[in-house]
Formats: sequence, C-alpha cells, structure tokens
Amino acid sequence: MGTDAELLFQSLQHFGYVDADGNITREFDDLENAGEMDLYSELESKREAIYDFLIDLKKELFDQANDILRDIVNWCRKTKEMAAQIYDQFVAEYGYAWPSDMTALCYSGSADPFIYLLNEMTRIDVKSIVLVGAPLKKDRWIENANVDNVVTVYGEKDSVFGLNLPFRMDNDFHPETGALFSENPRKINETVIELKGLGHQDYFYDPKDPGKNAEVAQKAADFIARVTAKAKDAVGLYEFLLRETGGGVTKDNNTGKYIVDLDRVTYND
Amino acid sequence: MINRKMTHVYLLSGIAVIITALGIFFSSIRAKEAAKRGAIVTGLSKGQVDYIQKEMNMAFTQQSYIDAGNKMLKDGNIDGAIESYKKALSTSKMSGEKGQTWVSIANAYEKRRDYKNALEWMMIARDHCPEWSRKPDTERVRYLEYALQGNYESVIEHARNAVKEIENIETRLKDTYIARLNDLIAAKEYILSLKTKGKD
Repeated sequence: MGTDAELLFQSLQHFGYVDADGNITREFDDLENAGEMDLYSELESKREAIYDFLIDLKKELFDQANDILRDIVNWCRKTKEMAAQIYDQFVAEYGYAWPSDMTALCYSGSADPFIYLLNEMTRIDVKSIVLVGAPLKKDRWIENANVDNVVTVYGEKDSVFGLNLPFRMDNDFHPETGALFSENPRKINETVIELKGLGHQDYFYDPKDPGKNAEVAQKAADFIARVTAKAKDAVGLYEFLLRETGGGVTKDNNTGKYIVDLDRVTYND
Repeated sequence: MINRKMTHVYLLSGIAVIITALGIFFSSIRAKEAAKRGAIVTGLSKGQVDYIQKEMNMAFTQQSYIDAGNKMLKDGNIDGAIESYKKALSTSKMSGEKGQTWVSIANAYEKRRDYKNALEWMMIARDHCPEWSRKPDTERVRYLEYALQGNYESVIEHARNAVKEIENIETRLKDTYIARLNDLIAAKEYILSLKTKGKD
C-alpha cells in the first residue's frame, strides 16, 4: 500500500475522475456532490475533504488547475526522482564541500522530496527550512537531526496547501493552525505564517514573467526573503514579526499562527 | 642516498600539506560564497530564483550584521555590537527589520548598564510597535526609567511584568526577557547607586 497521496490518485484515476496525465475529467465535472463520488473504501472517511479539495482547485485556479493536478500526480509518483534532481542541483551549486547550518526555501511539491532527501542524507546540514505552500505526504517527518527550525508559510486561498488536510489529517494536521510538524518524532521549532488572500501561484515574482498578480507576488517574495534570512535566528524572526509597524502582521492567539496582510507591510522609501 | 629519499618524502609531504591546505581554503571560500548566496532554493523557476536571491542577499546582509552584533555582545564587545547593529539598521528595508534592530541596540546598552541610551532606543522601538505587541515594550521602558532613578524594587517589578507580557504574545521570546531580568538583579547595587547620584 502506498501513501495516502498515492492511494488518493490511484482511486481518482480508477474511477475516472483524473486521466493518466493528471487532468480532471468530465466524470468529475458531472458530479453534483461528494456523495456521488466513488472512492476506495480506505478513503471513505475523507470523502468530503477530497471532493472539496478538487472543487477548490478548479474554482480558484481555473485555468491552471490541470497543470497543478498533473504536477501533483507526478509528485505522488516520483519522490525519489525529484529528490535525486534536488541532490544534483545541490552538488552543482556547492560541490561536495557543503556548508553547515544552511537554510532551505522550498516551494510547493519540492518540499516533500527535499525532506525525503534530508532524511536519507543525514550529513546535509540544513538548520532551518522555510516551506511555502507545501503539501506533505502522510508520515513525512523530519528525521535529519540537523534541522531545528521550520517556518511554514501558506496563502489563505492556497488549495494545494489544503492537500495536507486529506493527506495528513490522521497525523493531527489542523487546518486552523497550519502546523505540519506538531507531531514530529524530533521536536521542531515550527512557526506558521498565513499570507492573507494569497493563492498557490502568488508567492514568488519573476520580473520577466510577472503574471496576473505581479504586485502581490513581488510583495510576497520580498517578505518571504526576509523570513528566510531570519529563519535560523528564532528570536530575530519573532522580533521582526512583532515589530512590523504598519499593522501588516498580527498573531492569532488561538492558533499561534502569524497572519500577514502584505498590503499593510511597510517598507523604507 | 637516504638523504635524497628523505628529501623526496619531505617534498611529497609538503605538497600534500599544501594541497590539503588549499582544499580547506577553497572549501572555506565556497562555504562563504554559499553563505553569501543565502539559502538553498527548490521548486522555483529561474526568473523567480534570480529575483528572490537578490532580495535574500539584502536580507541576509542585514541579518548577518545582527548575527555579528549578537556574537560580539556575547563576547563582551559591546561597542562592536552597537556598531554592527547600526549597520544592520542602515541596511533594513522593512519596518520589522528596523524594529528588530532598535531593540538589539537597546539590548546592547542595557547589557552595559547604560540605561539612559537603552531607554532612548527602547522608546523608539515602543513608539513604532503595533498595539497588539506593545505591552512588553511598555513595561521595559518603565523599568529603564526606574533604573535611571535608582528605584530597584520598581525595576524588578516591571521587568517581571515584561516577562509575563511577552509570554502572552510569544512565549519563545521569554528566555531573552528572563536573561535581562537576571542581569537587572545582578546590577542591584549599581541601580541603587544611581539613586544616590541623582540626589547629589
């Protein structure tokens, strides 16, 4: 039996809701509610969450939904290959003289194979990981003893991050807190940051290909760059968050997460 | 003959040492370059990586001044720490970075028991702090004012309040507040002496 993620996509393909390339099919479009959806019996308890996830994916990311789903299908199947690609990139960049106490910034589906790589190659000395809009497979824990800090960043409207609900709900994943490692076998200092109003495509900015939400993406990238620079220094990170003068950062005392309104985050002139 | 052989051995050992040293040297350069580049980035397009690396270079530079200042403060080099924090201030782009730096400067002056300067920087930090996270700063400004008056009992009362207030906001900052409380307790005689000086 594979992970929950693999099982989910096997089930979706088996009942014809997703084709072999990861496209959502008419079969799914024709469903009127979650009750009409066929699923493997092991996934029955997650029927509503799975249905809602697919609906959200189509609704919020209408024109990109199939690309994203295709990426997710690949992600489910190819953890080891993706980890090998990341390793090659790593060697190309650093050779074999790897620095110590590194920080990693991982977006979306690259996070799960990156953590897999860290667990397999424990001599990689990454102290802090910033995960942005990252779905993780069930039982993907951090075993590499060098990792002390995780900053989990996700957009309020990020459906891909929402995959953690069906994938990790048995592992105490609470969508209200967004924390991914509260049950990690090794204690990890995790900070959760929710970016108000952002979807899965809004976190990073490319001046040559700015996209529809260029202003939002640029602000998000600037903010995530700062968070990444401070991820190793927990005290510095909290001071940075607590002292945002424009009211762009608040803390939800019930969930412990920081909520960031990028429109109100202030910059020097 | 033996001498010639030994010369070869020494020569080869010397070359091996040089190669090893060069290896360490270049490794160290690579590590420094890697540190300068910031973070390992995965999952982004090339254009996105290029943009965020530029921003991260600025952010890591700012943070590296804070880190250097923190290390100097730990080693007792308070002037060096303040200088480094001021460099961090000049490289801050976001208001949160500035706020973090004002507090770092205040921390350095407070460590030196220069409560006057610590108070000045903490007042700047407090006045810019958003309402929801301001209470610990308010308590800290109060205890620094009392310290200047030599009122030790009130200093400790408000330093303890600051610990309680930060626990309500971010419990993971509590240790830094407790460390400052302990420094104030250790400075009892000095704080009391400020009362006498004030009367003089």
